[in-house]
Amino acid sequence: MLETNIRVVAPGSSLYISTRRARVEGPNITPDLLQRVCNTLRHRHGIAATPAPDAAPSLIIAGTQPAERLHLAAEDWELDVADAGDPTRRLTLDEPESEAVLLPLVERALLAQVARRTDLWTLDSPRIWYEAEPFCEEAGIAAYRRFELSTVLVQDVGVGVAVDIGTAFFTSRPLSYFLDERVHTNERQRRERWLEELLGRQEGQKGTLLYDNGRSRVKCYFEAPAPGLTCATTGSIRVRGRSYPSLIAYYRADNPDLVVSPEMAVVRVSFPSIRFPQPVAANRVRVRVMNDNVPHELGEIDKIAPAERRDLIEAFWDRLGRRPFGHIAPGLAEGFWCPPPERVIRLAPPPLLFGRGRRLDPPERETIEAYREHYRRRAQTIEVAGCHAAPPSMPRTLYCAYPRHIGEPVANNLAGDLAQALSTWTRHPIEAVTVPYDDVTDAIAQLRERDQGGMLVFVLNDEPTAYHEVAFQLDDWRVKRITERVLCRHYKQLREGAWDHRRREHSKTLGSSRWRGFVTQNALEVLQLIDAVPFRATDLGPYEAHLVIDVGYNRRHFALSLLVSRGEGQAPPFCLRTEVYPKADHQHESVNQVMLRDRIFDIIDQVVRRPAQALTSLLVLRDGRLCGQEGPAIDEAVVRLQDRGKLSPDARVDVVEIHKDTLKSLRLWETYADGSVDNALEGQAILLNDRSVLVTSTGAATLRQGTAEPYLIEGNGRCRSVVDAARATHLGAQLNWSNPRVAQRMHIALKRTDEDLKAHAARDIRRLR
Amino acid sequence: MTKGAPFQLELFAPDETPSPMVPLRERLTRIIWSHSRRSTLEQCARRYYYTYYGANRRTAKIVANKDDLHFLKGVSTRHERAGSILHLAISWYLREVQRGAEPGLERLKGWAHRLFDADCAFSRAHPDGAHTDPAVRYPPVLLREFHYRDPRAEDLCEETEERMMAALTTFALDGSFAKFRRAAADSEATIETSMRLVGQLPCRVEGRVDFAFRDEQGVTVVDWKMGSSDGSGDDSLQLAVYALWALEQFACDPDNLRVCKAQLGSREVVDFRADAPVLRAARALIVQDAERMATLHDYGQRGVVEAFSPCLKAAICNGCRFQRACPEGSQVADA
Repeated sequence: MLETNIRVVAPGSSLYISTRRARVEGPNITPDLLQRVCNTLRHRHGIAATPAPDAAPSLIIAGTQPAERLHLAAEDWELDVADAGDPTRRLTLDEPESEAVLLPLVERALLAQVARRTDLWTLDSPRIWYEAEPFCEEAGIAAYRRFELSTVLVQDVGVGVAVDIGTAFFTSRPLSYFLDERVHTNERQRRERWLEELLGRQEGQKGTLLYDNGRSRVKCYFEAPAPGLTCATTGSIRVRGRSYPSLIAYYRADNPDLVVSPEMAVVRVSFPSIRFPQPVAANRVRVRVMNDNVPHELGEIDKIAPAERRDLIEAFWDRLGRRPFGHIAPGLAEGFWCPPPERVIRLAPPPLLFGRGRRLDPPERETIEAYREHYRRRAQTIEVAGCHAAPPSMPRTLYCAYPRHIGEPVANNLAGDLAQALSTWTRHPIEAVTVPYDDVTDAIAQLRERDQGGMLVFVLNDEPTAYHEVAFQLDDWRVKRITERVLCRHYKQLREGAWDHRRREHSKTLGSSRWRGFVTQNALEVLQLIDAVPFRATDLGPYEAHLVIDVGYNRRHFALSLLVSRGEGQAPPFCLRTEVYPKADHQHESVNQVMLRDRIFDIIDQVVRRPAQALTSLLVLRDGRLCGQEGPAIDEAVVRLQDRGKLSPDARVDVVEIHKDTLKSLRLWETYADGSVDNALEGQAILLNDRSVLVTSTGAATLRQGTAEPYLIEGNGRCRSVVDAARATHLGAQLNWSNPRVAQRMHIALKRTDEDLKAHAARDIRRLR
Repeated sequence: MTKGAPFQLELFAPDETPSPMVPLRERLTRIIWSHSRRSTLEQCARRYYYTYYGANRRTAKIVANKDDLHFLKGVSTRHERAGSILHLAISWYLREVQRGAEPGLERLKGWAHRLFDADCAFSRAHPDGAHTDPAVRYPPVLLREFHYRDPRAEDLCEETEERMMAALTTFALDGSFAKFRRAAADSEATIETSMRLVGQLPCRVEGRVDFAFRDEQGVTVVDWKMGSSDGSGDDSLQLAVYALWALEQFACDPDNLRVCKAQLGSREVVDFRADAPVLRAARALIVQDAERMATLHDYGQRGVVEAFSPCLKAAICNGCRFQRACPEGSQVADA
């Protein structure tokens, strides 16, 4: 039976919340400020409030008693909140604004109780809570359990509350340890190198820190060490409009109990809300270690299997005790919500076409073994039949540029193995040519001398500058970047063996196997770079074309990816095209209306060229929220495409949002009659309400560790059927070209935009401004 | 448009030739990069449009409110104006030193005071602007605070003038800057000069260098700043560009180059480390900026203002000279 991590708020669909309206009085009241006021009310007074959905600057507060007049102030705002004098209103799930008001009230009531009843702490989001103590400490890293909370409307069932479990890593020691100037030079250098690795600064990141000021823990970013500077010698500093002669003077005035001393070392950090870097005591700051930078001893600790996850979530609710929403709601319905069969949609894999006309049918039985065998056969079929299509004019030489200091054997092994795999799959002989280089400019010159453009694996350091130079100077080459760090790690495992967690020893077999996996994955990615199609699906659902819109995490770029899949008689029958564009308005998550309209038109116009048949249906998937003027931009592009005959006049165009991250913290798993819990089989969808479907494309057959991560498809009134959209998205995920043995979580077009945007972000220069 | 990973997969050859796309490199040659252009774009794409296209008489010719935008481009905030006067005054001082004169602090401050006072008087009397005599060498500038009827305009301008005067005093008297004052005596010292990087980058790079000189220790480039150090140290793209210029202009070795900010507000000289990796990063960042500018360029030329999103940040909109021309920005400022 499928089960979710959702607990339904009792009494279910008949839930109501008594509310009062409160006026907000003050200058410059913006929607953003109203949200901050709600956070302050929850944080300081334990009140659940949300901005009123109408235009008036007022709040809806949970409760039956008139709200007390409150004067609230922060550094940059000041206002009063007072009861509006309206009668108490019962808000039920039948009312149109229930989702906009009722859900946030339930969530905020819960957050207030978590703060009141537990010793959990938050860092950068009020919905994410951390355990007080680490559950594991190893290799200088402390691992903390993390709880993410959210609410979701489950149609005809009620308000659901989802809690998910995560893991966060921080250094056990503060920054003062890493920057201690009193230790021997060798030791100091070792610590500095370690710090750089933990901060991830080699990738151009500043590094995230946890600053404990004695009152709260806040997030900040590492700017620079401050050699020789101490809390007493910082010179005057200004905090919240007041001047202090030194940092130690500020600490003494602000929090006399804080453990700091005048001679303590200082480090410069930046805070999100403060313009200039600030000095802080280095012993109050620890490094937030991102999962990619966690040492291998802890590498698998964040993979939480469904059974353990379920237990941890239950323990979380137990810890909160009775009435976890205080007086707002009576409590929780028994157990986790299990969707009834009519709300569960099975999403089967489609038949796949490989080289030499080979077809792989979907598994006949819906069992873990049958599915596992199916995915294994995908990989085997490529080996045997080759890829579905390879351009006849594809390059026959694979260049591998590598920094001379890593040594020729590494490059020869890599290039040789890659070329062999590519030759097998494309059935064209590929020659490997290695190009040692001293610096990137030298490598570019050598490559330009040898060829005008071709297939290239470039072994690079993590420096964004080098990556940018390669991408800009070799824009007519098909370049696959492999970082020196990753290559050397795999090569070392090939030579010396990899660490076997189960046996607690180094294993040469495991090292060889990891190398083969590494080479195969990179070869498959090179294969895609040269426009080869490893395999295609016979059918990608109710839409001929899928268009993905995605914005990079730093909002410096946006990407479009268009997948067209239709009958062999049509032109084009199958096509995947991805483009990345600079985004000038990095202040906004939304893409500019004119830019989006024109780029959507361009990409479809270039793929569907006359006399190609017009597309008859299009699914637009917005990664994240469709915001700003993106909806009108899509509408305008559609009209232009129809005018140009690229989209048929009666084309079905559906637009959905796809939330791939933990916006809603939702999970699902399978519970068995014997009480065991495991991942569900690949391809499950749950209809949460008319507009939302939860989909998981990965599952028990191919997921070895952890719990499957579903994504949420939301219609928002622009989609005829979210189920159709969910089905199409799942089918797009069947093109798991980078690793055919394992089910792919995301639609291929979404994976492509995600990877390309990350590649662009990796080239962004952040050290200068 | 940039190519991502060049994964453009099509099974069949197209029957239709794609619309001609101008290659990126060619588009970059049309872009002029300067630090102020990139700063404007970083702050607000809409302001970037107004400044470099809407208000420009040679581009976006069909724009209806071009005259108004052109007028607004001439409006300065008190900070911008004080910064300009500070630079003017210091360059005058250094030129005096260069020609062997001994400029006094009082003359320096007096001149700056007169300029800023004239701006305030003009702005007070003509907050919506007025004709100025083209024969006047330094005509008064309309200050934004008066134009937008900020009730605190007088106080704000007075405070800014005080800061400017303090900075000029520091420049003329403080020991931290004595070396720079003396270095101006060298006839080859470069004072307030326009710079251009030639052949180093795919786009044109322009700017102004405050002060540069060569002595027995090597070449020094100084950038005057009225405020205090922000503690950010070595992350200034502006100084990196000066370094690129100085290496070319003085044909010197990076080891013999010093580039620094003279922070007159905090009386300190903040050095910038112009090593090879930083200079490479600066070049790459300029190309990335230029790519962003190139994406917008065609829209700017055609006057498609909607392609330039307003930043909608109250702190920016409230200090923007184009505020009243920007409907969205006005709403933010009024909120």
